[in-house]
Amino acid sequence: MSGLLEWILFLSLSAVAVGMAASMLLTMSMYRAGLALMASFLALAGLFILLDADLLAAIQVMMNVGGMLVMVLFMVMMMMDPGGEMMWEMKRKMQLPGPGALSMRMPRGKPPGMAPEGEKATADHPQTYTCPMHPEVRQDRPGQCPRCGMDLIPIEAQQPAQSYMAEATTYTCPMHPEVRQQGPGICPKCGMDLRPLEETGPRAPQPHGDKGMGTHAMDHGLQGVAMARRSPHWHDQMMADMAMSTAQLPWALVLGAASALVLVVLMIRTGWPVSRAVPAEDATLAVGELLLSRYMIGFEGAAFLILAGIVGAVIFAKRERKPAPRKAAKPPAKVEVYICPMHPEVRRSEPGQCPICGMDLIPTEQRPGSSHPDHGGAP
Amino acid sequence: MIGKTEASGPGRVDGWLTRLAGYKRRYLAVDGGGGGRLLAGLSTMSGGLRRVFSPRHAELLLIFEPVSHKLAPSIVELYQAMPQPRRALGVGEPGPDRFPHADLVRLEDLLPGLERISDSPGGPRQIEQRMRTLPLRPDQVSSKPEFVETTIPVPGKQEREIATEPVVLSLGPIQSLTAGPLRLLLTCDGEQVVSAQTEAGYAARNVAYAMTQACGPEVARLASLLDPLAPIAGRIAYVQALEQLQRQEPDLVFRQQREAALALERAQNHVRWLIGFAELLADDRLTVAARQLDAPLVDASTAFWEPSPTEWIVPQGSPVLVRSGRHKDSLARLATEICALRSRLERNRVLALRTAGIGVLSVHLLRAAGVSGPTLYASERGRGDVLGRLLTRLDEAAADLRQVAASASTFRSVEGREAVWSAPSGKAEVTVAGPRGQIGLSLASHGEGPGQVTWRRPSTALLSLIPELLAGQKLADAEVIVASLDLAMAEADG
Amino acid sequence: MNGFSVALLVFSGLLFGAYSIAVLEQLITLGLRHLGVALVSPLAEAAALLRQENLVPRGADSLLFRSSPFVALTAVALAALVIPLGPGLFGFDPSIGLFYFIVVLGPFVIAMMNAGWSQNAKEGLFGAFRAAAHLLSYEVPLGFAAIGPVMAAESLSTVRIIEAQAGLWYGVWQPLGFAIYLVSALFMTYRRPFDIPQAGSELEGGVLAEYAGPRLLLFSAALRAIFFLLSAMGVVLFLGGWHGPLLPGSIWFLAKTFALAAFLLWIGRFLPRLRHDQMLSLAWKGLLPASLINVALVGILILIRQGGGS
Repeated sequence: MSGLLEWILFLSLSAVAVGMAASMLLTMSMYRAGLALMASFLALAGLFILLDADLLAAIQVMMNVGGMLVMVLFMVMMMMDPGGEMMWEMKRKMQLPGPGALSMRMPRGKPPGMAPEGEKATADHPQTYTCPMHPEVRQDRPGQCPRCGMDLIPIEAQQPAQSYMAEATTYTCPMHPEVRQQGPGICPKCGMDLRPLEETGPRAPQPHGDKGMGTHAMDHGLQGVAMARRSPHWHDQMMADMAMSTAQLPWALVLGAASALVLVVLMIRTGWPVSRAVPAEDATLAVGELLLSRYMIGFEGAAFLILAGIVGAVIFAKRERKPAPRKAAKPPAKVEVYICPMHPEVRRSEPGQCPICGMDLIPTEQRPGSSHPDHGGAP
Repeated sequence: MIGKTEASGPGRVDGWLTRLAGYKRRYLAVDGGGGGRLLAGLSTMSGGLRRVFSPRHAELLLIFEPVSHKLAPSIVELYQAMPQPRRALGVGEPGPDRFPHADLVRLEDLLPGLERISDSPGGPRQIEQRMRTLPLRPDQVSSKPEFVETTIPVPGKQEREIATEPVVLSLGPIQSLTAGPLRLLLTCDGEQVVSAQTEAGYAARNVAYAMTQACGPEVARLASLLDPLAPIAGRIAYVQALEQLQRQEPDLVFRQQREAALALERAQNHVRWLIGFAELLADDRLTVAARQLDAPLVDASTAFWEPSPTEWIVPQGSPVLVRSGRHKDSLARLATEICALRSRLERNRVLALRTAGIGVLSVHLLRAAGVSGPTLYASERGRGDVLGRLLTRLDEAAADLRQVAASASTFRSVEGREAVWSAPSGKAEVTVAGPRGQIGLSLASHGEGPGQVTWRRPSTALLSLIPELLAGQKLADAEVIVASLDLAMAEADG
Repeated sequence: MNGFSVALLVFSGLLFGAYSIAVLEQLITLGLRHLGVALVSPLAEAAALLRQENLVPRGADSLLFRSSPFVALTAVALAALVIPLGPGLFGFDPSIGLFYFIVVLGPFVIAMMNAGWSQNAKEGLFGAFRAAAHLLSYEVPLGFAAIGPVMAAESLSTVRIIEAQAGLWYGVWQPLGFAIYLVSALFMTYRRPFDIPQAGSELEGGVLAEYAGPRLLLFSAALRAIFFLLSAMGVVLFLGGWHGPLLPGSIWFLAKTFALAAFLLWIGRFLPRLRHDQMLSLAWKGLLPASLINVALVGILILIRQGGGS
């Protein structure tokens, strides 16, 4: 290809490679960071093509697409905020300048006002019980639904799990605490005016009032987050996530840029031996022929070994044990419910294994004479 | 629910593009409770319509009445999520007109430019026609009914090494697994369902109360609306209850004819269910086979009686002219085809991958929950898994059709008396074998009309089984299991 | 052929390929009698999608959401370059053509995953994970199945593989490899029975749940185009490419591609949608050992032929 085209391609591919690597550090979304790394390597593959190293380029693409994909998958699975939305919201609320990761600071200390997990019924939030089939049935204590006889389950008077940031004040109806909305209005059930919900801890921030950047604003941001989750373990997790943008990041960037500069200077100043040799036309073909003719037996052997390993693993694999055979003849007088001691929400009417952890299910006695077996309601 | 939009650019309404685009319309169906039959009929029409399952892919929103207040926010949300240009089509009489005692909404108040079409004559063909010619246009939704928030208990977070969190998936209330709206709240650990919860009540029409407020033949009409998919069963239940109160025993011939009507309805229901189930499994051959059974069955059933069962299922009977002889051969033939299909399915190993050993219900659990009908028979006769329920329903359908064909030769016109709609005081208890199980009716009358009406509905019992049944299943299996229960939410919610 | 005409050829080829696959889908479901409907329906759907609004869900990762269809199309276009439609009719012929093809289709799966992820909806996320499971399942069996023709032709170049089949098509004496390739192709293009990540009724459309309007059209076109490409590659590897009596090579190539595509669509109808862990079991416990056996068999056959012939 012509020299100019080659230069253009080289410069654009290099720009993509470096730019994507930089954006990997600067973005707050872990998913995007993984993709940026992938894109950077793909640009490198493009550079390999420019060097006529097609096979290397293809291998580069294959390895990195697969590898980065798995990395991204695990990040999405394990991390609290893989999309960076939480961080982005916080940054926006605090109106911090500058590109994403560079402007964040690690929050110091635990934000105040975080209640321990498990605090459910308080005077402000009476615990109401309802029937899963007839939601119009509500009462203050557990029991059975008068319509169908099913056990009542508690309604959690909590924010839905997805709302990280309590933006505006939450309004609720004094008669119906399960009714909540983000602005004032009237209760759809009884028509009473809604009142703001009293938060535990510092008052919720005004939507656009806060301009301060100190701990005050940080706490509000975190306060909203803290409303959704409440355990110290979660807090540690969140801090680990925010490590995407640590105080050390500018140092990392400076060091990286410095080393890159040193390498470039070395490259320009040092006399690298330039070879005029052009790779042979059919170099790959020659290598392929060699491999296929002389070393085919090696491939066959490797394939055979892998096959033997897989077959052996499959044949000797531990089969899932069938559930214990049902007792013959008469059914039990009481309806037995089997639960897993680690996961009480898993309930079965016959013995077996817990699908989550594999432990054997243990029986729990049910009240005799109940017409419906107890359902998986409260955890 | 799918999040709200931030769109760019309204839809264009150019001439030739519109004409070309109208050749194939994509619609999203919302079944408020009464649409199962018509939906199945629509799916057999090939060509101009395609059913989609995400509002973003749809141009038309097809809503089957009645729509309760509880369902309204979901419908508005779906409509808002649809891209412009769009249109909504309501099928059936407006809910508040038909059920004045229920908490229903008028669709015209909810959605702008809603077009209404009635749900009887012409059936699916007419609906399809209207859907293909309805002009689409950009519009804005003004009313925004508030959601009633539900919070469900999520399994407590445990301090594990790997801090993953379970996802709460809310399937519905508009989903294709049941005939009618039902919300399934599945707490999933990846693809595995940890716990399940149902939220019903979206199709509640308060039929029992409405029956106490009406009198005469109107009550029978309401009874037939309890389960729109099984109108004959409801009607027969009420009529038999009245006859019990009146201390009249109808003639043997009438009883046989009523049984035949019930059996035909049951068979129709099973085949309709099979269509939906095959579509869920995405098994094209089964879908095609089911559709090929459905159309002739519907035709034969409608033409079997003259006049239609709604006219002659009345207390103490009336002159009945029956044309059954002509169609009993086709019914017998259909029964044979169903049996052939059943044996093919039993041998189909790939179908067994998705259905065998999945969702096993034990007999004593079913009996304890008060379940009856094909679900119970499946557990009694065999595996009690999804495949067993599928095969049992086919068996039942074939048996019902054979029974009707056999007894059809004994039918004849009978002179009857005028229908007597009085309800002398007393109590009556009736059980009718419906498509999903035994439908029970308890009627207490003070002489004026039904004073207290209580229905025992088979779908309610099945609903109560769902949380236990789904816990520990894989997500894709959970959907198949719920579909295999053949729930009719209109019946379940009453 | 200069760059511009190559690009034009590729794009028009892809458009034609996508359209023809859509027509084939209609024909298979409706039957051959409805040819007119089948020819117009894809155009009608395309027109309907074009006039819909191009929306982006709130809270979506808009960069990824907007770019996913284009990434998918780019991957497909780059892969199409190495498919030779006839003698001399190809984009470019690197000596590693087949390997390049398999590798370039990886970013297509990435595009599907991005689509699922960027929607900010749980359905999309589930679909994204399922799509990723696909990638990890098909890649190895596909590669191993394709090794058979490579060993026989002693080249990775698509053109040379076709030229080496002048005597006997590879599909004839490598039936196991052919079968594995076909199953992997179904995996890769998210077709029945492996279409759980994006099928309509699975969680409201899976990765495509939130796409509407022109972007949905781009994605549908990309999905169909990749199916066309994989059928074409199947023809290249196992069905002799453009070889055939009387008619010019390209006609034969297209005819064989359509036949293979129709066959794949047709067998897909017989099977219900597999649950995605069943798909993974099939891939790892079934396809992978079978493809290793295939490699061994083909190697043995080649050694026999070489030993006997030369």
